[in-house]
Amino acid sequence: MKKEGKVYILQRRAYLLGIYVLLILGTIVMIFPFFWMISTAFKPANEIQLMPPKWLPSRFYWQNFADAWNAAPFGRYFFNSFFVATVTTIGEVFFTILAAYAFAKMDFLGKNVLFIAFLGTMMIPGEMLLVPNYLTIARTLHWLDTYYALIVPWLVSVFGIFLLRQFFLTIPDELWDAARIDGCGRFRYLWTVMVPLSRPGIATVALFKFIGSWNAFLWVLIMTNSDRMRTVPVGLAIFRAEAGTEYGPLMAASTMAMLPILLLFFFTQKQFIQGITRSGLKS
Amino acid sequence: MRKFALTLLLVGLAFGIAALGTPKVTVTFWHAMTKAHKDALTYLASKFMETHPDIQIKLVYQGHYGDLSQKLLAAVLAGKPPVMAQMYEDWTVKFLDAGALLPLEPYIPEDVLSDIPQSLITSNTFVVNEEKTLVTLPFNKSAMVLFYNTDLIDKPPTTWDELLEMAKALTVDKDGDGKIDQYGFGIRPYPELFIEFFHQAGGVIFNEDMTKCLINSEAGITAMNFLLQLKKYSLYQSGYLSGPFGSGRVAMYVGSSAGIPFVASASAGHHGWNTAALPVGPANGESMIQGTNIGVFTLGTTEEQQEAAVEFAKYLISPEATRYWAIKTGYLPVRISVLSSPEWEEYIAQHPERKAPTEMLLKGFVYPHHANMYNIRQVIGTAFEEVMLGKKTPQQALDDAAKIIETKYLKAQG
Repeated sequence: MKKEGKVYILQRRAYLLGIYVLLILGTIVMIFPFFWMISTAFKPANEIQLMPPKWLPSRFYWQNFADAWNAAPFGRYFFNSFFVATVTTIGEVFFTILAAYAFAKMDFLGKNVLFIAFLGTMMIPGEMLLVPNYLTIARTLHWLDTYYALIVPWLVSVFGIFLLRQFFLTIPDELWDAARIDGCGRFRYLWTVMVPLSRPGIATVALFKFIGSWNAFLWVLIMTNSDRMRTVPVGLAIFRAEAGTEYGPLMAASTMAMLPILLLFFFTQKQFIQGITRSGLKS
Repeated sequence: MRKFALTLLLVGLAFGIAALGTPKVTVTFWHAMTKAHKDALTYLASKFMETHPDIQIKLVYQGHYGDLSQKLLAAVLAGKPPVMAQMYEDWTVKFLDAGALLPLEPYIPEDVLSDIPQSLITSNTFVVNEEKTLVTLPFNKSAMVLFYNTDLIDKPPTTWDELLEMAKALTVDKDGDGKIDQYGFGIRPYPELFIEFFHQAGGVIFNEDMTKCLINSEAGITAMNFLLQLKKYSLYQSGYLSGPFGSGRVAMYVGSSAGIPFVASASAGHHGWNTAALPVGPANGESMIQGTNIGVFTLGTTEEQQEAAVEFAKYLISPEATRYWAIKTGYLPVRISVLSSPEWEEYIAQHPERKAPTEMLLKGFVYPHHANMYNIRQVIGTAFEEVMLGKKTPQQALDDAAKIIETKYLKAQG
């Protein structure tokens, strides 16, 4: 009996060791690009592409950061990125919740046809829509080079609606019956019952949106003409030139551009876990 | 008090009238220049505006060439292009088809035209209403040159045979671990590298009326076979070669002179380097001239704007402007008189790496003009890669490429 217990503990330890080794390997794989980005950001140009590679710069070469910051009006770009990403995220979460609720919990004529039509739009590659969209923005709406062009078309995303609809479908209808007996209307039920229960889903939608908006390049470039309206990814593009790439300043600028996303991720990660535990307790 | 008010009113009126009297013409110029290149362009624009107070040049960076092309095409469709823009020849063909461009030949004096190198005249001349005419003006031009490590090479190779021999001699396993530490040559499989060797072997991409693709001719096979030979002594990679050249892994490579600043910063502290004229092939030693031109749009612009844009375009190719541009950016001056001027020679003496590109400009060739050239060059690039990776023989790959180009891009053109 005692012996068996020992074997069990040993087995358990070996198992844990295996798990940890795997996790550590995974972490290294995930962390490496970040490490390489930051290390390159501090290297002078002649140390970047050596064979064998240099893991760390011989000295911290801060000039890359200064060069990167001065290469474009990054202050304005950061403000624009923040503003556009925040507004589109809040907007999308709001509209997505309304649409997803309608598709998940309400019955109306042509609901399925409409939903399939919505999904159908996801099959069209964005690049194909670029020229027609440009024509709409430029000719019909006269929104070129304005925040409208950067924000309004992105307030609704079919992917978000789909994701949240699936989430809403898992919430039992009995809650709605109970709420109705207590005299609760649909709108109030949506915001006081459905939304708090769907926090992980909503956090996912918001995170996807924020990252997507923060990284958006082609749309911003095509729809804007002045530095006043451009965002960080457009700034990052200037380090790639006709006959080469300035990796040092590019990595320095990328490091700066990535920080807000990283902070946001740490922040929402807590939300994720909370949301998951909350829904876990329920069932 | 009243007198003061009256004076104020009069002064105000005078200013108002003065402001009304010289309405500024605004010319937007879409470009793809960044950093030092952008600064040089901004400087030239401000210089121009000093002498032309009635013209306002508005420079707008529109991303890389790919982004710029997408944006220009969309803008032309929307009827709202800028007044002027940088453009590659194949875009120019498309804009001409849309009737959106102003041919510039009538505005350029004879003595200026004869002062532009022939290769650049060819690249800017298009067929408009069945007549050949200069449509655009050359802007940021670079030439293919040979980059070589001066710590390893005293006298750069002058022929293909010498190039191969030297590449072989310089490919060494220094520490004897069975892995090569230094390659004699470097190959990045992009279409222009193959086209360069193809042209030097005497090849032309299309027949006269552009109905047939001649890439699978004898010259194509010769060029591919030579590149296959070279590959044995080459670092083969899809990334730019300035990095491995700078670190000393590659002793020579053929690339655009636009890469000079990248080679300079990557080589700093490792070894000396220089550029040389391309080793001469079986047919010639000509170098491919790349880079964009400047065009002026008629679509959606006023005549005043077009005239102002023409003035600025002419200024950019003036001897002072093109010399300044060349010195600040590393691109080539586009005037023969500048190339032979004492100032330029003095500059070359201080910057020996700029000598070969300038020489190559006068022995340059350019891509033929075709609206689908971008896709065509990609097909050629794929064939080049397939041969280098041993997936197809030169004959197979080039036959296939010629067939794709003819059926997909030449016939469709009509």
